[in-house]
Amino acid sequence: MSGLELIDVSKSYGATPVLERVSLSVLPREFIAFLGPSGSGKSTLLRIIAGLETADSGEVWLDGERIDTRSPGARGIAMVFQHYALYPHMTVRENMAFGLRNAGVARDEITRRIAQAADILEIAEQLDKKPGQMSGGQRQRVAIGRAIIKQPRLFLLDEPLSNLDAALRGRTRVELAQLRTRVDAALIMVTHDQAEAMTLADRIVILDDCCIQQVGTPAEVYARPANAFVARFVGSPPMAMLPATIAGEEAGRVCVRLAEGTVLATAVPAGELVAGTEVEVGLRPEHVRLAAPGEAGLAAQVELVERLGDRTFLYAKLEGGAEIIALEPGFGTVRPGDAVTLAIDAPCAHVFTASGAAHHPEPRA
Amino acid sequence: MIGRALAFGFAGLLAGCAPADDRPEIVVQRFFGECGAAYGESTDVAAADTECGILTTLINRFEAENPDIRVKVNVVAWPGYPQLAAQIAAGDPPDLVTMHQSVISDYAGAGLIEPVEPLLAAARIDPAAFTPAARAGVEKEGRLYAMPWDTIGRLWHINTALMAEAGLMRGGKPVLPNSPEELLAHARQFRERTSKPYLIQAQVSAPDFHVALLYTYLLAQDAVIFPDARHIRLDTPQARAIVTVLRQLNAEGLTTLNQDFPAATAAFIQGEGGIFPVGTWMLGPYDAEAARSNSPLHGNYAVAPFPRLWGEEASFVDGHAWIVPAARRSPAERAAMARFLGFLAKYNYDWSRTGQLPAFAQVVESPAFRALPHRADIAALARTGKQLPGYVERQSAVQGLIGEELEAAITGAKPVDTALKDAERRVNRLYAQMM
Amino acid sequence: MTAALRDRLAGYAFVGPFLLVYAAVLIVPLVMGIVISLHRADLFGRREWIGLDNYAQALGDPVLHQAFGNTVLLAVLIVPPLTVIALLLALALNRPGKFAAVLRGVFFSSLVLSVTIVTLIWRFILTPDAGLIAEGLEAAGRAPIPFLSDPDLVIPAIAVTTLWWSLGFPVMLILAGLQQVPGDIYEAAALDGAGRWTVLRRITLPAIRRTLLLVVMLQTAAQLQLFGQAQLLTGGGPGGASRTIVLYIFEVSFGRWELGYATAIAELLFGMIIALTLLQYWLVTRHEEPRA
Repeated sequence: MSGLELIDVSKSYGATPVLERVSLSVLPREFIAFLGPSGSGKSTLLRIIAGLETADSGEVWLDGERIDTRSPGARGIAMVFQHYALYPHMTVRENMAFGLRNAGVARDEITRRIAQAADILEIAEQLDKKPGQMSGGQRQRVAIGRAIIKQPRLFLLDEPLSNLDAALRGRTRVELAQLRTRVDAALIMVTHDQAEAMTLADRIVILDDCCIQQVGTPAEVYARPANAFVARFVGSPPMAMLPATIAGEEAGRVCVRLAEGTVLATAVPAGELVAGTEVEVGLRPEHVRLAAPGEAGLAAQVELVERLGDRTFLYAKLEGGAEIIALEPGFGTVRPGDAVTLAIDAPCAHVFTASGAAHHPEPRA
Repeated sequence: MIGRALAFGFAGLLAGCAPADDRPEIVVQRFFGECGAAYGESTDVAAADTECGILTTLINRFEAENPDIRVKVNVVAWPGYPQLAAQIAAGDPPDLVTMHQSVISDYAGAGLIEPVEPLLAAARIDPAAFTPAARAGVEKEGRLYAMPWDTIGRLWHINTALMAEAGLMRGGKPVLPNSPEELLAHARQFRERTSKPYLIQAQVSAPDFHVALLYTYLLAQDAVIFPDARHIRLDTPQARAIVTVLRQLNAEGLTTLNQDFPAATAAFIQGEGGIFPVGTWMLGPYDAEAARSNSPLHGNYAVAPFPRLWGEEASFVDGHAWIVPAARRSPAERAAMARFLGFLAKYNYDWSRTGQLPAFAQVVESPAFRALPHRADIAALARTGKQLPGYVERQSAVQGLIGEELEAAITGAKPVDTALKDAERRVNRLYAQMM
Repeated sequence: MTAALRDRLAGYAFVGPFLLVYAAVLIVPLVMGIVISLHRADLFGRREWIGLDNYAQALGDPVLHQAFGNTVLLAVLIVPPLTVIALLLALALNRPGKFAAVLRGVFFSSLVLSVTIVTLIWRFILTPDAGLIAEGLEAAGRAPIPFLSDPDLVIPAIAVTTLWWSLGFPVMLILAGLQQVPGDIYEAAALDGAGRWTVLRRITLPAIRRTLLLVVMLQTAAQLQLFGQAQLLTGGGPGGASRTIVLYIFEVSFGRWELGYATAIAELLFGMIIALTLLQYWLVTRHEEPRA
């Protein structure tokens, strides 16, 4: 099994390009998430893989066979739609059996597979009901069951969690994680929620502006975002970007001067970074905290406080006007409007040049 | 802004108020067709042709000469009786309506139309001026229920060129059969020599044609068709004989088949058959057609009353008349109606140019009428014309029923006996239901 | 006056005018008709009570039997083909694009013509004397066919005329039903490897089941009351071969002035139509569960 290969897939709607020369390799049994804002082309890419749309150019290969010339039903792919697309006038049993019957699978084999899938997904009692009589969560499991039963080589999931309320979302996330252990196929999920992608996927494909911005494991895209877009998109709350200039270097690592004058000694290798270049410094909230009394730090004005119970986010503004986010454990006592001093873990800062290129700190020894 | 809109609105309302029109209005309802496209506003009666043209120009002229009367004209599809019944039932009937004389007794008996003697007197029309046939047609139980307008006779319209080809002309006049056997013999000879059908007949959607033939030849034998007001007798040897001959003509292809009236008329004009048994109302149009030099009928057109085949010479005649539905009307309206009737009476000669026989004796005897083409050939109709007895009601509906059964018998769909029995049964049942 | 009561009264005030008109124009004449049918009545007001005699006469009237047979035959010849053709057309025209939109307009346009114009057009086509079909047959060397005067051909001729005329509305209804089917179901079916015939049979048709039922019910009720085409094309002939029930009612009431008998026949027709449409409704919906 060689998995899914996308080779230079391009698609435009009229004069508007949606995908430009997108190439990707997915390993067998890998869980990939297509992540990106709306309009980034992620759904289009999914539909091209499914065969519901045709690419203007490029090829799609699955397990060593070229599939972009085949009809959707002949690709060995199953899809779970965002709104489930269950056949409303068929029972659950018939919904699940539909694809297999079209493929000519023997009747007792179908019965066996339905029983098995119903077991796994705990929908055995619903088999004779119609979709209109079921709740949203049950319907989704039926949709998943309909996909599983075809024993495909690739699962496609179109925004599986966006229709669910918060409680159900958590539960379903767990179920999806369990699902991928039980099936012998790769999974591709489209989502705009980076938390979903981070928790479920083996690798995340981040798309924006018709192209792939980065492909990497959750750890990679979080710790070493390929450019400023990825850095801002992944992580909630997002990484703060402070305008700065390169001040010079120290022991091979750059120092940056922030707008209000403070100089930070980062762990970013100097490389080709020249003093005087305008850059942005990226800081995640977990690397910014309230300075201990007497500790040096940046003066800031707190504008917004988010208390989540186990941690508190402080949205603050530095003297130069740049916005920054700090993280405090627990409930915290800071109130909006307070003036605080923020301590920065400078060795964790990232540097982004004007062209969007990212420079990351070397890991601590 | 809103003030201006209001002002415009009020001005518009005031402008829309026409001065009250208190001219008396009479509603005239007629059949005879719609020919506004050709005759529109014309008032030149002498130049008009066809029933529709002459009547339209007449009414236009009346309106032009009588600007103090408003005339509203309803043109209805022939014969217009379902509409009239509905209008009377709804309580909103027209003022003057054209009606066949055979139908007058229904409406008179039910009190739905009023006697017209007062109107005739106001119009200074003397009932003694009507022809005997016309007067008989409108007089029921001693009262006059309509102003007669014409007498309609049935005629054979003949293409003399084809008859000559068939060897059926003598001395410039067509040779007509004297018995049913001769009829069939002539028809077969005609067909042999010209390969065209002897008769042109309208057999589709035209029940009155066969019924006219049946009535004519039953009346010619003095057969009693309606022994009383509630019964018909049709299952008789005479009727069977007549229908059998007609059926024979169909079976042997001696007549055209499957034509409705427009198609049959066109066929005669195109010279596709020898004889078209229809009536006086086509005399005018066919004559006009024959006058055109490039027409197949040019110089080849003749007419004759139905030939005597059984019994004596007879013709089943009917006539048109103007009736007045019963309603309350103002004296001004009645005066207007009287003037309209008087006007129509003056133009009876023009109406007779259509081919129908005039209702006024003076016109029949006038040199102008006599000089019209072919009128000498049909003068006999005034003498031999017979109508159904005056007590016979629902003639229109009865005609439809009998016509339907005759069609079945003549086309061979039903045996003649069965058809006549069915016709008798259905008409008797209709009469039994009458109140 | 409480707010709730005021709301109720406002509701009645909105519905009231329509209900009044409905009652006056439909319910009252219906009841009056039933009353008249129990009398021997003429068109001009005379009435004589005879109980159910009119109905007895109707049930034994061979002309009515013939009309009944003609009407049922017409309905059978028109409604199923009309539904099928409308379905096929709607499926074909259910796509975006200007050409499809133009064609939808074309197929709908025959509906706006009045029955008089339609029969005029079809008389011109069907008449054996220089009609369109007759000319074509003669050009091919064959004899013209008398569609309007052959007892075996008149009913199919009227059926074809009616089909041509009535196609537009069912096509629109079915199109509306088709456009309500969510598109992702068809995509799921594509991924399930369903061919076009399977999609039609197991996805499209069940989805528009209720629309099809509506079309069949409306058309059955309409065609059982067919009148204009029969009166104007053939006059009910030849020999009553194309006389429909409503045409017979017209002839009896306005030609023979027998209002009582005519209304009795009309009530029988009414009962038949109601029974048939309710039967159709029950047959199709008895398997459906009550809506969630």
